[in-house]
Amino acid sequence: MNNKNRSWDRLVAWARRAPAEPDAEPPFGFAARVVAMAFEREKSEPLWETFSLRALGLASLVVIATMAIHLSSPQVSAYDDIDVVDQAAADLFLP
Amino acid sequence: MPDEEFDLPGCLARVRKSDQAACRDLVNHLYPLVIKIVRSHLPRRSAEEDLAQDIFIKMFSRMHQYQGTVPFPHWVSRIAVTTCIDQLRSQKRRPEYRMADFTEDEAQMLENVSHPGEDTDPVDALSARELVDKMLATLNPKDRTILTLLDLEKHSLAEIASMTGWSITMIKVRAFRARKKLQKSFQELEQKESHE
Repeated sequence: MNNKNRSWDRLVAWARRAPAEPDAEPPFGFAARVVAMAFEREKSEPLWETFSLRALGLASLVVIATMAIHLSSPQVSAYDDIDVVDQAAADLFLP
Repeated sequence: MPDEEFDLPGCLARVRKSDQAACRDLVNHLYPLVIKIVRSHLPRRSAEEDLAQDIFIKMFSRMHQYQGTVPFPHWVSRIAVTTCIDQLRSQKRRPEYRMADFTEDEAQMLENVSHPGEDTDPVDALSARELVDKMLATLNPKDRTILTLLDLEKHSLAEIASMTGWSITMIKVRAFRARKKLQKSFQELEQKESHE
């Protein structure tokens, strides 16, 4: 390696000589605040999940009810439309 | 560094039972580790406390995912490193430096590393550290993390793999490319200086 390629190695070697920072102490009240926030979040998540499950259940009921109404209603066959068209064509073109 | 006498398994067992006092003990125990990672990734320290807070909240929310396959501090390190990388990604812009952007001490340090044989006194170590931070800031977040852990903090490849969850091959390849990029930056800085 030439000098330029070693520049980074030399720079970090010097940088490592910089005095290490003393171990940081958490700011006053930091742990209490973090723990309170974590517990608050934990409490709110099951609530959110409960609402999600309820919404899912409600949506499923709506789908089932819609299907039931659809299936119980009188069926209109596509062939009915064809019959009408056939009849109209016959009236127009057949003697 | 975390307290050697701290009963981590016992504390974790109490944390799993939602013991708030144990949770606070765990945060206090791991704070030096987490803040060290945050500081080594973010040269600008404006939001280090907020970021540490995010890391601890993620730690608690994912506690049920910890299987004990890696030491707990390494597992927390992964969360810390990932959170820092996400933060760096959100900053998006990476600086491109010219010689004029460096302080006098940093410029002198750059001259010293480019032209070996000149003595440097211990005070220069701080300038070197500042210059390292600036050079690392030009890299993408993952490369910055790897060179910080590998070259600056002298962690082994296996340790970095454990701390980040990345493969050793990936770490080696990224470190190689990142160093090449830095070498190019050194050359460009010298060229710019000679033109100025």
